[in-house]
Amino acid sequence: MTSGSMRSRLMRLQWLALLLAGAVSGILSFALTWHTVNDLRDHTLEQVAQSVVRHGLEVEGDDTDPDMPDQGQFTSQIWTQDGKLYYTSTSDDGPPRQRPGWHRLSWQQQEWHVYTLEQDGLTIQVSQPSQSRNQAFWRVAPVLALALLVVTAGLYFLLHLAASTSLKPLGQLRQALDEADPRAPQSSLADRPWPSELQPLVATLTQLFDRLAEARLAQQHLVTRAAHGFRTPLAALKIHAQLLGRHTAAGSHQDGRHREHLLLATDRMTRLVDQLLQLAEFDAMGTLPAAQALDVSTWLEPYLRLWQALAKAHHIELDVDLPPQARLWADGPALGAALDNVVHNAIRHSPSGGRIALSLVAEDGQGVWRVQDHGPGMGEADRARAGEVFASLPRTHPEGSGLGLAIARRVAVLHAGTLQLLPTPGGGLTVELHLAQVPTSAASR
Amino acid sequence: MKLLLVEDDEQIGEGLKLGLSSSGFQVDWVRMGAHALTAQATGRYDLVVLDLGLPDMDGTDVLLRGRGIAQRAPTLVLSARHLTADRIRSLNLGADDFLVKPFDFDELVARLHALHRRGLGRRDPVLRIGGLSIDPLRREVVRDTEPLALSPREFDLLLALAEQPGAVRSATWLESRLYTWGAEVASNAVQVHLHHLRKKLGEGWIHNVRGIGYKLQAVPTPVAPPPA
Repeated sequence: MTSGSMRSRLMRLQWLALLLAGAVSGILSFALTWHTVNDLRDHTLEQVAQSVVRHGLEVEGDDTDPDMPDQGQFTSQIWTQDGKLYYTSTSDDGPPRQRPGWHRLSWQQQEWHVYTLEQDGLTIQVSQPSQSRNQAFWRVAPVLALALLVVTAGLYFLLHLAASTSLKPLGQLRQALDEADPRAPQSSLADRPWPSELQPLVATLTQLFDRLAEARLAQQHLVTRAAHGFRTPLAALKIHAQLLGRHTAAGSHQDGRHREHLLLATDRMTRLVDQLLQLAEFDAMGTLPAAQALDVSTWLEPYLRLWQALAKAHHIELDVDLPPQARLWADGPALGAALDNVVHNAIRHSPSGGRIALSLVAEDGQGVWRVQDHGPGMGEADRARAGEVFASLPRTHPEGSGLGLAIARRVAVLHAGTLQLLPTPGGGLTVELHLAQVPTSAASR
Repeated sequence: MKLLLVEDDEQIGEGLKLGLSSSGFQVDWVRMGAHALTAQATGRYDLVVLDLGLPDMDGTDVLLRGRGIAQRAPTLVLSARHLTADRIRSLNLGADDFLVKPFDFDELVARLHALHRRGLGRRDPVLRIGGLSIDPLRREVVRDTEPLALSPREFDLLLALAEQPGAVRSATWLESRLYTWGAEVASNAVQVHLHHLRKKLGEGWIHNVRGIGYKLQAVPTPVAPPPA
């Protein structure tokens, strides 16, 4: 979808402004020129009248051709103090005598500009036909119009040049983006001298590129690590499949053991696939779709049954401590998946006869799920890396996928919380899921 | 052949132990790097199969720290790390071969035999001593043109003696080559197997060096009498 060209819009607006400016300046020039021509002509009439006064009445024997009164430019008349027409440049009496000052009157089917001066007992009247003024004006007007046209054309060219020069960085940015490799961070893009208007856009684009490159890298790591994670159970699968049916050195079969291992390896791979899908699902989530106020005991009950059975099979005691009638705002399936992974890890790493403590408490305005084991524990550096996807820590149990804690961390983040790993006093690992919502007691509601 | 398997994954470990034992290796299996170093320092191994991702240390550390061990056995690294850089690093740290998981079991066995052969300075996959041909990979023995049916222990015993013909091997040494840790071995087991082997090989092959041990010596192939 396009909303049109910025350049075209800019040019249209500029062209419109130019036309408007041209029209206004044309009209103003026209009016000013007309006014000036009139002023000049009026001034000429006044000067002629004044010059008659200055020279006195010495117009006897005037050889002016009465048919060509003042070459058609103007007529002049002089009246004496007694009102007698002393002189006229026309063949007849000329335009009627006016009171002193400027006048415009109609005479002989023409409009006339008239100036009448009374001085030293004389009345001098100089007249000029409007048509003569119009002719003078229209001689000047085309030159003015031509000058205006040339200036307008020049301005149009300059505006075009200005628009092209100003919009050039946009083209350069487009070219830079075309050439940019979306797989790499674009620090060089921001280093170039962009105009201040483009700088925020370039900064945002650079950030976008960086995030894109980061996401690509993370995806690449995940794929590489997932492939690595699959190699171990695949190797187990292959060895046992290859050895199936072979004789041992003693001549007997070990097919029972191989079949058992084939099933175990298949289970491991299935769990790995499940966890990868779970992680992908939680990664894609921006919010928690099934968040609601959970009745903790009722919700946890089916999970607890599974964990108790698993713990019992490993000769481990699972102690559970929940606040009575607690309710917690959380996404049941997501939180269940997170706790399931954490509890499975604890069971896997606990020695036979060991104890695991699972509890939910309200601490510092947060709901804290705590799973405490007494297994081999984890060093500080490993604890810091433990929530990463396929962190491949030395502690990773052969049956572990390296995804469990990553899933738990993602779920904690979705609940606006964190995953924290601490050493258990006396040895072991304590995993805490800190959730933003505090458990409440149903009884107190 | 005595082999030290260093692998923390129970499933792969057990598969390898079962498979390699079936292929005639005496396998001692450890799950930690520290145990691998101790085992290499104290036991005599012909070969080591080493996983890189161990719980207590990285397999490359085992290679690095194992450099000082006298008579270090050739080591084949097994790893899920598939990058060329990982192979190069392992080989530069002293590994003799590298296989990426998942691998073909028969290829692993073939590579182990080749490594062992190279360690002994042999090129021919079949050991030939006089008229005796021993194929460690197929576990077959032919004397002159006649195949011999040996039990697995007898074969291992013959192989242990044949790797360096003429070298005298004590009964204890032979026992350590034949049995893994914790195996219940009767005090005269080696002698019993030697007795049966001697009977199957015929006179003159195995000599008892009194007070020291046993050695294998070539018996010239009898020249067929010319047809009458």
